[in-house]
Amino acid sequence: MKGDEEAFRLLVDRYRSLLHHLAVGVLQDRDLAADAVQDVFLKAYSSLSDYRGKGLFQAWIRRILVNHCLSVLRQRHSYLSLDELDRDFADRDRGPEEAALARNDSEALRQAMSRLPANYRAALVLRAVEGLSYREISELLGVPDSTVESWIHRGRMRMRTLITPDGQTAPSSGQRARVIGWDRR
Amino acid sequence: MNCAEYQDRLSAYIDGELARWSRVKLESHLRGCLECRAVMRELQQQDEAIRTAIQALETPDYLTGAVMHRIPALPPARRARAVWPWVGGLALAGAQAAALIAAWVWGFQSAVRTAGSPTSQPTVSASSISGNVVPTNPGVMPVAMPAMGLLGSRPSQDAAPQPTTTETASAPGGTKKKAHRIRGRVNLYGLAAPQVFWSVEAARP
Repeated sequence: MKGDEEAFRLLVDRYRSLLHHLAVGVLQDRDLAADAVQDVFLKAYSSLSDYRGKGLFQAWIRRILVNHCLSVLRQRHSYLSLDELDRDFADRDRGPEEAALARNDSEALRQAMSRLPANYRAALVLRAVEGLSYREISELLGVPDSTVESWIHRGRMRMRTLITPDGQTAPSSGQRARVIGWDRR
Repeated sequence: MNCAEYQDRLSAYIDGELARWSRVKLESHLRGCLECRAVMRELQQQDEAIRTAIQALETPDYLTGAVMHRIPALPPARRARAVWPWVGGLALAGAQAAALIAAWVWGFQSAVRTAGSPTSQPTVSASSISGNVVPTNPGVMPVAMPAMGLLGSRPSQDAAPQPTTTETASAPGGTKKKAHRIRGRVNLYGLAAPQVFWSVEAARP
């Protein structure tokens, strides 16, 4: 039993960063993400017998995490519907000062992501951060490939519009890089 | 197709998920359309920004400790289930194998001891010479029979090679070789070996 726990500690050490990044991407909240990662590791510990060595442990626990994050968002009523998102677009009339702050702050990226519907966000993070294929994402989220493609594309295009300061014209590539802090590297 | 329709396919193109023919058409359009190329670059940079921002986040150090601290608080049934599942099965299989081996060795040694004892020298009856090998010494069969039952009835059928016993009695010169062959064959069925060994040895002149 003690040996199992020590072995499990190694797994936690190895995968905690990966899972934490994924959870932050989907939940857009670092504290919630840390809680989710803990819960998911405990859930995995309790259901190791279900794993049975089929496939990669990483894929297995990632699936648990994504489902857990989506469940958390639903419980917190953060699962924005398309109607809600459209309303967000309509209400997005920031003043000049606020827009300037957003331009100079990479926080705009986080804000834009947090405004995406959770399923768009999950698909986008799984693609952009984890590098999964559409097929892998569709299996993980339990939706067809075409749906994944649609979610990712809509997520990207809405992000693009949300980050745009005035919402009317898309900035040049250089401007966009500054808005999202991309040019600081 | 217009630019909006091409832009709908940009995400799949960036991700390498566009079908070949669609990719060729889109690339042909991108060569001549500055606006669509700019949109594509923005989407690529946006992905890069998301990736960089998320991967730059530091994972809290307390995570591992917090998880390990909460494990003992899991309900006992769930913790017990978490023990690697094959350990229980392996232990059970090992115990069964050990019991079978012990039964086999014990039955074999009993048969040898009984056969070697001058006071308990079994007699070969007329019925065994004619093919029906039934040891008259009751000290052997009860030892091995329960163990044979574990493997089914197959060994008991092979354990009575009637013609061989007859040959053994009538041709002393080939007895040892014959007995060896029989033991080797019947050993395939494991637990039947003590009976056959005893029967053949008993039939020796």
